[in-house]
Amino acid sequence: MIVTRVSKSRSKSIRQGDIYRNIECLEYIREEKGILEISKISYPYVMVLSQACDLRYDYQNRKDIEINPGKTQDKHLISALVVPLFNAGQFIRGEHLSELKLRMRSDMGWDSTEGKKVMNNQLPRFHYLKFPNEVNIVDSVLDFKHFFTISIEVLYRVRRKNFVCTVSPLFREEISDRFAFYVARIGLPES
Amino acid sequence: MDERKSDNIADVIEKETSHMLSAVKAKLDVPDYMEIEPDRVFHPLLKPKRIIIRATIIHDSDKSK
Repeated sequence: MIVTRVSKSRSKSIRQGDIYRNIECLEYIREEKGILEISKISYPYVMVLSQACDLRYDYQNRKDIEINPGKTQDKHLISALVVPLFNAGQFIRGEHLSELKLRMRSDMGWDSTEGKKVMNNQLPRFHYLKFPNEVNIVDSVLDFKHFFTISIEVLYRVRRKNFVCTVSPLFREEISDRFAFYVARIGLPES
Repeated sequence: MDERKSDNIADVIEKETSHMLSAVKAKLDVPDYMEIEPDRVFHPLLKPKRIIIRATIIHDSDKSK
């Protein structure tokens, strides 16, 4: 199994492959009879998978506008696409979403053919990440069925405190490529 | 809950916790003789959680009453 190369240095801009901790996904806000209810899901770790150049131009555009307020905000992004990281141990037992009251499949062990395929990134739906020792994240799995967006301004606000590391270019490009392939799949009717 | 069942649960929790701590030790390359405080082992135990916040809306006019 290949260890994912990462860098712990934080750049000024948000980059594809950045991993952040404690990122919240807002589910809904509703108001009834003067009571406001907000529901959100807090994810321990997420990886940014927005397109790399989009993120770079967004940052550049924001900088340019500070100097020249007359410039358009044509390159501004409103949100960034993120994919949650699930603890591999919890994942293989099907328990990683138990706090959301979701039971996932638990019939794969790491020794099974399918489990080995997950670990070797041979199943399009999953991406297994083994981190080097200097990063304190256990082995994790990305499940490309799960992703959400977060306001890019919120991400900029929390990045100093919540940034963990960034996945090195070749590795993040492979993840991005596999994610794009998975979400672009077409299911044809059987009959 | 009968005592035996309660003991079994305690055993399972202890076994699970010790298993996870061993995995963390291996991952962080912590020698066996060193202890890890369970509350510092935050990352392997965390899962996505739903948080629901409920708040009462107070209008400005209510405040002045």
